[in-house]
Amino acid sequence: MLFNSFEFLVFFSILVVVYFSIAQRFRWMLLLGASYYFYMSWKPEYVLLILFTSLVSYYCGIWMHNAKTLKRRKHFLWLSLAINLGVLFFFKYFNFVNDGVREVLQSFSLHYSYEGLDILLPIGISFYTFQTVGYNLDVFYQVRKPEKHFGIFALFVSFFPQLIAGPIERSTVLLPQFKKEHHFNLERIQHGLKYIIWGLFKKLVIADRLVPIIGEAYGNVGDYSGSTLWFATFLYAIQLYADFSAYSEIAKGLAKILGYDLMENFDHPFKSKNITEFWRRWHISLSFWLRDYLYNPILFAKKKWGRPAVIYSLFITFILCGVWHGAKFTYLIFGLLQAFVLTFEILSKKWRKNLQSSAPKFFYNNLSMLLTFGFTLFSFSFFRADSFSDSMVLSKALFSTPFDFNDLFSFIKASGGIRLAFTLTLVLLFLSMDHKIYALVKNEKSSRFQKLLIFPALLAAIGMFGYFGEVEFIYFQF
Amino acid sequence: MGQLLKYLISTCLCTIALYLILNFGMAQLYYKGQPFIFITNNYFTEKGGDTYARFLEFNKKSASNIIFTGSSRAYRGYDPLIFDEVGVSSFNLGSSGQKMPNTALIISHLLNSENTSKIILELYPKGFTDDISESDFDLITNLKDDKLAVKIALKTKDPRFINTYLTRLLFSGFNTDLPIDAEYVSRGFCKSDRVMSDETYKYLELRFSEDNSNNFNIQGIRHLDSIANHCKSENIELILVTSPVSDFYSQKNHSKLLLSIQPILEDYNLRYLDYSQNTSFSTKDHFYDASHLNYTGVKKFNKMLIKDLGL
Repeated sequence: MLFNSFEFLVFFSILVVVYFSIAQRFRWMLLLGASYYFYMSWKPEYVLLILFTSLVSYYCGIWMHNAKTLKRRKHFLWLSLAINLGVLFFFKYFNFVNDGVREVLQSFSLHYSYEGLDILLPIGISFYTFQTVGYNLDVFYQVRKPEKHFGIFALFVSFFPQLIAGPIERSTVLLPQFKKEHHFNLERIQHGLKYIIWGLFKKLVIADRLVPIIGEAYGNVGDYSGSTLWFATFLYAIQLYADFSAYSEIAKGLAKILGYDLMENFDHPFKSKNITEFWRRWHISLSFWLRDYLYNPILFAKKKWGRPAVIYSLFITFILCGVWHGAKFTYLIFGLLQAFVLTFEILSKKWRKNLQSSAPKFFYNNLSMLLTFGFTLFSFSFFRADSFSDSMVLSKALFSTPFDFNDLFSFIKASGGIRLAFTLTLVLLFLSMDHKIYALVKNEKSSRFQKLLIFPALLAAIGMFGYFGEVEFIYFQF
Repeated sequence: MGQLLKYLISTCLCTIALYLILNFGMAQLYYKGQPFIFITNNYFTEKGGDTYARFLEFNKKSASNIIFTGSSRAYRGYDPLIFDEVGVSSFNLGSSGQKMPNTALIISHLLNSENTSKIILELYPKGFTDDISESDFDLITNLKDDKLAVKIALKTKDPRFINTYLTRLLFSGFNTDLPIDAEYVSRGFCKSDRVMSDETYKYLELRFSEDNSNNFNIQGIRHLDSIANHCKSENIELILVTSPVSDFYSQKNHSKLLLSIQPILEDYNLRYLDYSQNTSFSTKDHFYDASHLNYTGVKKFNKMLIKDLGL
């Protein structure tokens, strides 16, 4: 059941009416039931996996809290990590590792015939696993007490607006909200609807329209020159941003209507002037999770090393960030690229500061933004590539034929010519208006006229220019 | 609650107004002689072509002995002029990619005991798949009957069909000045004299080397049932036919088709003439592509059908 489907509209409308009609004490049951139903509409049996993850984290949290010694607390933490990450590993990486083992053994002429498991990756597993692991770490570090109500804890793990693709919420923020009474509030509903409309616009009018164009270029990387592949990668960056931020905003809007606040997951990432800033603006819930639960603890543990500890922590964090997205070498390269550039930024901090003070501000800022965006595109080419060999072909083309405009023009012509130009106009309009419209979505500075017209205009544009093929959100695959 | 309703209604009204303005504006704006609205999405089709000509020519009030219907295999496979030779009047209401839901709507809306006594429905596995079809957009744009177009537009919950219907209204008017398919002959039939070249055959061999089985949609079978029911109540004889097929036809799909229609054949005691196993048709001589008969094939098949129907 996709957010951009008619079934979901019916499901959510009924849920809202029932939710505000029943007493507070029954609401967690309704939301939990709705969340499980939402998840089961994809593959019913995998709901048992969420239930299992919830049970493990719930009891480990309680046992950790009751443990008398740090050593015992650590045992329960490791138990929770081993089970939760073990399940994630099993579904996400087992076949990848198995294939690797087979290839290594074959290179030594040893026969290993096991083909791996024929299993489907449970949708949203990376997101809810990190959320539950975050909860257990919070309990371990005594940032919060364990949740005693299993039903509410299970709801925290499976809350349907953010279950499939985040934001990865903090237990300290989301769990208490399930215990508060939420009254029917017109302003909140209006606010939530604005998030949903903006998200749907980004998904249907921007992201989904770009799918066939990008698919053509990335499906045949060997047939196109660097200029075309840069162009396709630029469109992919827009698609990824529009698609993923759309999901986060629809999730935020849905939760808001029900009375809950989810965190911001994006903050205009393409305006970043360096990669450090980029990660503060892109997939914020994941990057902050990695910072708080991985980077900082590693840095703390290795603090005696001095500056190398920072670099070491960065590499570990971003390798994990890369492979969190999936079992592919291209994701690993994506993570490594981020780590290299972030290391460069740390090492060149003084030099860049001097340069910034001596160069004209406008020039420095825009060049920084351009370079950051250029690097982001390059790293996204690995993120999007279908295979490792494709990413190699792609990288070679990106740098060997970046100015082959004849190939680019024939690609544009073959992709629909004027129709593609129209899509590009929508993309450019979106990029230039993104900041302003998001301020309106967040209820910041808006005139009565804007309030009255902008969201109906977005809805009209969705109806008119939307791509209604029910394309899945990109981050569902992670 | 009242305030929420007020907000929702005002937002909806503003949205509808802006949507209409946007549509109207895009329809008035021209690029290289083409209204800009056709550039905004790939499902818009300009009025004209064989579907337009067919439904413009069709007169609900004039009677024909036989009406052919189905996909392009129908309007390219049954020539009313050949049936004229045996004194049987007929009309072809097939249209590109027509699927069972649309066939059911066309039959229930346009055909009755007063304008026909027999319907020949061309059965092809693709007619039972559930993907969004070109047929919907084509029919909404080109049907002469406004009520039928709106019914097709509203049967799905997809805004694309509403857009197409609105565009139809923006470019209203049916006249003979619009471009008509060069292969369109008359009474719904389109003729092709092309023969399949060796290159095309080789290309198709490569293309259809993998399994191309369809997902059968149970709704399609329900629509076939409703067609049979309509024909029964209108006292029209419904005959199901699968016209000859090329070497690229999936026998796996055909088996699924036979299995699915069997209960309906039995319930309504329908005649089914299956030419898919007829080996006298050669792909290279009687077809011009993977699915459609050329005119040599049509003549041969139609004469065979006339004989089998005892006309």
